[in-house]
Amino acid sequence: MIPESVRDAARAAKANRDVSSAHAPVGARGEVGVLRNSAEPTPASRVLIRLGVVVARHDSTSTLTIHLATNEVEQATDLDLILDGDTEGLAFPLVLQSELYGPIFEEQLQESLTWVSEAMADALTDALATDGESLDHHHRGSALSGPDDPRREFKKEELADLESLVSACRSWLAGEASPIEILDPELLLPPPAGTQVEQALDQFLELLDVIEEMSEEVLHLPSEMIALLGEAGLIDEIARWRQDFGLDAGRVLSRFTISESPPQLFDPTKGTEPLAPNRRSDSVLKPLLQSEAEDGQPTVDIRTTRRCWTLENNVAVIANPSGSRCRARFLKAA
Amino acid sequence: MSRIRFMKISDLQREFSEDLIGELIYSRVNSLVEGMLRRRDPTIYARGAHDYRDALADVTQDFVLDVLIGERQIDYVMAISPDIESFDRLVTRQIRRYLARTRARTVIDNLIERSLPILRKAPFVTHAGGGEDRFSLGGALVDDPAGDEAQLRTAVALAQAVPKTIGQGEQRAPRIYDQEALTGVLSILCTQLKRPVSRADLQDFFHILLTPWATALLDLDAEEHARRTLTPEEEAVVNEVSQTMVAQMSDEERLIFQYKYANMPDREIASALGLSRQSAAPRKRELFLRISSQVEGLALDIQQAVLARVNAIIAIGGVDTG
Repeated sequence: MIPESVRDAARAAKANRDVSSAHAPVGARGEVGVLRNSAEPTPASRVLIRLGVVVARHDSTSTLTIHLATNEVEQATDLDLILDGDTEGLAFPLVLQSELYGPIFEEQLQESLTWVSEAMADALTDALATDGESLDHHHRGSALSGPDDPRREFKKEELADLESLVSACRSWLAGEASPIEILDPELLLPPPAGTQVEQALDQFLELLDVIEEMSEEVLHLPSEMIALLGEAGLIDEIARWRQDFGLDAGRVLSRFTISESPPQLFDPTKGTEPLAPNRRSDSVLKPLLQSEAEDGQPTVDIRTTRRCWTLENNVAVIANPSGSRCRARFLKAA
Repeated sequence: MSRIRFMKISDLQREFSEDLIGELIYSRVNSLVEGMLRRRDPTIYARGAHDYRDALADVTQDFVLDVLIGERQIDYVMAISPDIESFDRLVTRQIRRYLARTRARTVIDNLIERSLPILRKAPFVTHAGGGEDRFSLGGALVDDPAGDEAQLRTAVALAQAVPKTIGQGEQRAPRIYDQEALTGVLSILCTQLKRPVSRADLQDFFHILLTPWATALLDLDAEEHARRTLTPEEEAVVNEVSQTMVAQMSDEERLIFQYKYANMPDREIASALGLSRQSAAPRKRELFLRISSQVEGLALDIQQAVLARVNAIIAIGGVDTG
């Protein structure tokens, strides 16, 4: 049974400052918010939710650099910045840890709690380079001492949490393959009618080369892509390989295994703006990527060629109205 | 009990948004406090009670009032708990911190009581007046309140490197420092603050110094930390090498060693020496080379023991600890 004194204190505290009103994040420098690890929970992994502060935003990849925060003020070192409990929008004290930072996908920032000033964000990001001097006029902890300092063990545990938060994004930024790899549907489309057969054959060989590069493992073609190609009238277009140039694209497609489609099919008529100039198949690719985003898949690798993806930036970010994002990385055949 | 077992995080979230803390959260916290107290000595962690159950209600109530409501840690817990297991884990962590802090207060009171007789003896100087004795280590005293915070920070960093002996979990207030180490720690405080030190200063100093160790104090109750003790022969080697090393160091080198052993940044070493970082660097390098040659050939744990002893000798700085 809850004592009356506790009930009264809870009422008074709530009246004095209402429960922190979290709101939709912006993902800008200085924002303190709720972070979540990106992986869907499996028996081997758990959902991890932590607080952190955003110190940089990278629009080209829709990623953020964050520093991990903790409520355990007594664990702060001289390289950590302590936000006292009277920080606007923050009911409790928080330690921003300068040594524990890394990249996350933007959608991992789930809620916004408060903001720190530009000066504080600068002090935090400069702390390592200045050996803590940048934090001189801020509230911080004391220097770590020898190997038996208990904060070392705490920092190790924090590092494990940070790894869980940043590892997926960091691996992707480092060029590690995404779990999902698909063929750029642009490659499946033949050149316009009237194109010389030799030129068409070159493009057809490009398609074969890309498939050859992909074919180390089982090739999957999402059934959703087939449906979208049909809706966009592009199945007939693929058939033109044979009609116009005598090349059998149907046999190429037979090398793929049709895989289950994600549950939600996005309307291909919405957002028909191509991802890059002169692309005809983005009415297929964009809804497909939107579905992946909605499914919680932050990245997809697209196998393509220089002809089909002409932009310098190999990454295109597809955002859904719900805020979920999927990053398509266009890997051009050698 | 079954109600607690079948609680869902969504139930707690609803109660949190409506009442901050109500019956559900309170009863769950109570069961977590009970789980924590059940495994520990009630005379230390349950207000000196013979049986932890006699103090359970009071400890839970104070924890909820002071920590979950007073510090609004309930907001933090609810913000990052995706499930009931996370809620339990985070609240349990908070309970450990709370119990540790409670115990740390006893430890600090004990240290202050032991410090006063040391400070009343030479080489410390007692300054009477204003209804309260204050203490210094003689030398030039500068009353500069503006520099107090930085000086206290340096004192804490240097004192953190003084060896602790905290493996006595059965005691209500572990000693933390033996007489020699406590004298060294007080010597560091007086040297760094450069003004007479009051009881309140001691309270602040020990509070900051021991805060990171608070939960470690609690852990030492639960498990014995085996520490290897030196054999008499090893002890003799450590004594000889460390005494020689200190005797060969200039005052400047002792300061460099002490700061570096305490993991202080180079800019603070340079500042303490009154030099630029560039000028301080070669002196530091020269000292490290000499130290390396002096401990070369010793086993790693003996090397560490030598460096710890050197630091202790420098910290005590010739103060008679008898």
